[in-house]
Amino acid sequence: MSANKRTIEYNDQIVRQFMLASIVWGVVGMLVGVLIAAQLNYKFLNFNTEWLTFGRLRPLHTNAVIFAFVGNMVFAGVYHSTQRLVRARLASDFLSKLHFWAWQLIIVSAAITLPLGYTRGKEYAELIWPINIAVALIWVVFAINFFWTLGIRREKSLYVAVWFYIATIITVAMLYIVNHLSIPTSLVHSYPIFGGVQDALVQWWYGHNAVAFFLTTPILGIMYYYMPKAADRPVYSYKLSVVHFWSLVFIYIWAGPHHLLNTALPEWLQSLGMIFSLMLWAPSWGGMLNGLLTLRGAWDKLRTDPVLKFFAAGITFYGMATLEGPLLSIKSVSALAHYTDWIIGHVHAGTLGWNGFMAAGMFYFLAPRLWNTKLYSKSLANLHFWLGLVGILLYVASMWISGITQGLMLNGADAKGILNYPNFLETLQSIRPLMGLRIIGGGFYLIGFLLMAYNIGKTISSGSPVNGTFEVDEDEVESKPMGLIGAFCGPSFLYAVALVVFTCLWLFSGGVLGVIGMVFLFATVLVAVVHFKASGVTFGNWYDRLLQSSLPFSIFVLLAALVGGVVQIVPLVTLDRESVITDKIQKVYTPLELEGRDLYVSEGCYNCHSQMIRPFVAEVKRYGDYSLLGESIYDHPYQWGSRRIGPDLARVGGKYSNAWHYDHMLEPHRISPHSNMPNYPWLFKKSTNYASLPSKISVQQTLGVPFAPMSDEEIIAGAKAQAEAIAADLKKEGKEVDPDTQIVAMIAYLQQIGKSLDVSDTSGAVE
Amino acid sequence: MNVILLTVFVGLILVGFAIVLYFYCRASSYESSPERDSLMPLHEETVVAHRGSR
Repeated sequence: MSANKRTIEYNDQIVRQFMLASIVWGVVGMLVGVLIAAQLNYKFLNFNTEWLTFGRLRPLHTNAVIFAFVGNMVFAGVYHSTQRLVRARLASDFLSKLHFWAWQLIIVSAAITLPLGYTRGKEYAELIWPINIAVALIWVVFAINFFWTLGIRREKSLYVAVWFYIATIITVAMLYIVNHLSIPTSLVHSYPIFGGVQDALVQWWYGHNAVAFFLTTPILGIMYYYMPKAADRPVYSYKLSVVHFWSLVFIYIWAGPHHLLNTALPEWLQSLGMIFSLMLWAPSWGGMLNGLLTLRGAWDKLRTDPVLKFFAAGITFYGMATLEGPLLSIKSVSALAHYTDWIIGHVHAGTLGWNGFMAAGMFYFLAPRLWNTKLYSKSLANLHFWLGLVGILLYVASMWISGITQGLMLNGADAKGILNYPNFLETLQSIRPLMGLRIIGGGFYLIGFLLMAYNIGKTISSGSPVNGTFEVDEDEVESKPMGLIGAFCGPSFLYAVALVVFTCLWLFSGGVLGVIGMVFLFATVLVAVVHFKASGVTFGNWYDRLLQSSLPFSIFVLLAALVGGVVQIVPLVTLDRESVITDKIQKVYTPLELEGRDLYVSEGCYNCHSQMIRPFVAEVKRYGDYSLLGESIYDHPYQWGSRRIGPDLARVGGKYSNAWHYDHMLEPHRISPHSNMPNYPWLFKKSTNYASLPSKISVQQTLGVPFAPMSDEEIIAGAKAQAEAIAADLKKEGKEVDPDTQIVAMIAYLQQIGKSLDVSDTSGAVE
Repeated sequence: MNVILLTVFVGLILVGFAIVLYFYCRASSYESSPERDSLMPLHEETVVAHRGSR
């Protein structure tokens, strides 16, 4: 080594830690997944135990596989590849350690609180507010560590993988914070600040983009680093990656409303969600093609290299899932597929195929390199691949068939509107074999994953941990970053802004302003062309310099992702919600009903029951009048749901007697033969928490829910009086019940769902 | 509906803008180059034992 060179060691210890954590949590998350899949066919697997019921374990499964398995895998991949791509050791060992241990603590907290029923009641956003704050803070730690590392980099230009990491960090922070805005009522409970339709929109803006920016963009970044590395080929087209990156970041954020098609969400938002979802197909396939074509000339390696095998299959699943996603976002297709297992199949094609296989490929790539040894067994890795592949195909195919079957049966009605299958349970019975097949598919996948864990464990035991190194020339001249002024005052950016402004002026303002806009638009084009030609300045130069400047680059990413959110979210959430309701408005809950609703949320009932009747003949015949925007306007959180494992409950209030609900919650299968709903015996023993009600109602009032002014004593007395009335009614039916037990509050809520006031009726009579 | 028109319109402008810039990009000389950048993952590296295990 020459005198002016020194060797720098990468922080690969943190990569090893995140990788091992991902494998451990992956096993846990998938095991819970197989269990809850089995619970749907064999309800005894709920064990009549509150913390083992489907409604509480399903959020544990989703959170574990998203944030624990994929989260840790992403952190491992980002930290490993970024250090090499920017030629710098991670900026802070302390922040790296803090990131790792705090993230594991967050996961453990989630694994404890979710089964205990502490939840916010929003899919993939269930964690309670103290954990939300911890997640946000640790995400900031991750961001600081990452951007600090970019700040001390020795590689001038930012490689495409790093762009995707930047987009991930910025956008996830934005989505997570907005969707988790809540006001606490206690240490373990809060209400989201948005309610009803506003909450639904914000939730799926977040929910869809959790898929986009937590499960997709970081994995694309990982693909762009590890695929060329494993194939020993440069990425197929760097220019395609530029187009693919910016269009993906810009378009993805708009697609959220496709989760709410045919609901009470305003029509313009539904159309916007559908259009952008269809547009998303192009950039998604740009990424897929770029990944697969990187294998050009190296396809033969697939036969021998398990890493490439997993990558190629993973990217193919990405392509299939991103074709299916736009298809499902077409309103008429959604009419059939929404609320059915088709969506579950679609999601698992992405998570098992794309995330799971890319993770496996990356782990098989990393393990021998991080422990300086050879992979213990290629044969085991190949067995893992085939078990996983067969598992996914069984899973996805059975869910497609199950979803289409249930969709057709539930939507089936003759010309007179008579339902072909009036009993919901008939549809459940018909998909039971397919749900059984899903358990087998999921089981195969889990066994394959366990083989990988064993294989990597043996690999580790045969080697010893090593860290990558690189040599630095002490005389290396630091590059001059572009800086904010350079980025935003560069002619390329200014011309771009001018073009957009003048075009909008031309099109959207009449008269003189319109003419000015048109003239200036053409003038700008002319000036830009002449300027670029005369000075030799080019967009390419500007973009290359931009890639050397992480801050301006990150700001552009934020702007691209922000546009969709601002256009969709701001108009709806800033509306005076009562002012747009023209027909029916939700009746405000009584204190006891509110407590019952919190129990409904806590038990995770929304995982199986929707509260949104779509305007289709079959749905109206089956469940009642279609749901209107005003009927859930005070629901914090909204409970429209996304799946109908059981029937819709939007109009269940008053449909059955109190005694029916009592029996049904105790042993559902006795009332509804063949039902797969768990028993809820603990609701008959545990006491209603009256003391929490004043604080809950105070927060609801702060959020704009028009509760009548009541003192704390009046709130509690009112709740107890209603509980006693329900208990007395149950007693008449021969059901002895303590009025202070949770089942009474739950019945109070169930009997209230769907009750609304007619806006035009000044007397305010309950419908 | 106006929002959709506006969105499609702005989207088309961006697409047009991207196409124009793409051709500028093609015609320009680079400080770096996509070819060079795309080789970044292929850098060689050496390893040393992790201190905790030495």
